[in-house]
Amino acid sequence: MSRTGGPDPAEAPGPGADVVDLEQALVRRAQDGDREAIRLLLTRHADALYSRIILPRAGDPTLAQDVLKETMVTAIEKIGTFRWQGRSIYFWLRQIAVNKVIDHHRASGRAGRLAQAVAAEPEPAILPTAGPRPDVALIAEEERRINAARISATLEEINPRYRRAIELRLIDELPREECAKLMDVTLGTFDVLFFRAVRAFRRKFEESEP
Amino acid sequence: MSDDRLDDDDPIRLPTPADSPWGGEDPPTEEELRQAEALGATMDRLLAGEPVAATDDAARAAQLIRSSFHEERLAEGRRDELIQQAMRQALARPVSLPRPRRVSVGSLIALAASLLLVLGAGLMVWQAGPARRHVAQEPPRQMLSRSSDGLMGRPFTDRAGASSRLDLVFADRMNGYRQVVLARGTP
Repeated sequence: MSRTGGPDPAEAPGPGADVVDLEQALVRRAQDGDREAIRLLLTRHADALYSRIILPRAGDPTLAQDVLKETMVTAIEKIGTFRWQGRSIYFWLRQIAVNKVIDHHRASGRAGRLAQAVAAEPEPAILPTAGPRPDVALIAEEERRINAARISATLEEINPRYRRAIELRLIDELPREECAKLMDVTLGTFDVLFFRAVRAFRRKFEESEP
Repeated sequence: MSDDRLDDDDPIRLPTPADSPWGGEDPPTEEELRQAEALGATMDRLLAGEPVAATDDAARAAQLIRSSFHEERLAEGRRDELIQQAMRQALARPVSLPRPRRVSVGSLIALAASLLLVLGAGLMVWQAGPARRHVAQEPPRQMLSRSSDGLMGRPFTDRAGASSRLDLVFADRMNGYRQVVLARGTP
């Protein structure tokens, strides 16, 4: 429930035009200085921005949370400049978030190719089956699918043994000891294999920069 | 480095035979061993859900892979906390939350002045319009025949000479002319 006692629009379920229309109304109220509307908009998009946009690009949960906060501060300050163009404000927030990640990489001297490669990923195309105005959750899922497909394509290009080490450790999220056992190597050997696997992945991923 | 990894039987420490665990690659250097162990420890903490600062490209790449396949949501409390912090921070800055749109007094005055100017210009155009000019061209014939007998008064009084009577008649004629002009437009 919202603070005003009615149902919380940020938690309104389901895709469709109603959700987008509701968001447009929230944007108008936010532009008129309604703080509750701003809070609802941020609540609606914070999770997707964090898990789909910022964290994969920042590579660090602590930094990602800082970037998310800075993204929201900028969004609040610039909400008056936002012009509704018939699609969710998510894309506007997404661009702010990507720019913030790039700024952080530059400020920390990490303007390397990995930073460029992850930051430069284009926004997802609208799913053809989702209609002209898909739900935000659907957009975020599409974003995740694109990221995963690009990672998978890169993994396909590296040594199968390295790929196996990455899959066991990062996708299946198994403990190191179990990974080593499954690969029939010692723990120390697995650590080195995993380190080399990630390094090989990073090189291939940088080469595949869109 | 843990004790089991320092075991002399660990293949990392041995020369690389044809069937080595490295598959023909070079065995690791001391520096590589150190980095591999550090990355392993970082991943352990990350997978345990601890907030870990990824300090190198290897850790960032590992995080990129993991977060692309797994949903890592913020705890609801943490998310709301970040939103509150962002709103407070935005409010503390000179350029803060957007203000409700209001019409200023200055804008109203400027609008009223503009309206008056437009009305004045319209009135002038209306007065100089062709219809009014057509009316003004009609001569005020009735006024020309007005008698001045009543204006003359008695002759030869102490305080009114002939010149003052002529002045009075002239003033009367001018007054009549003015009334015609004002009533019907320009001559």
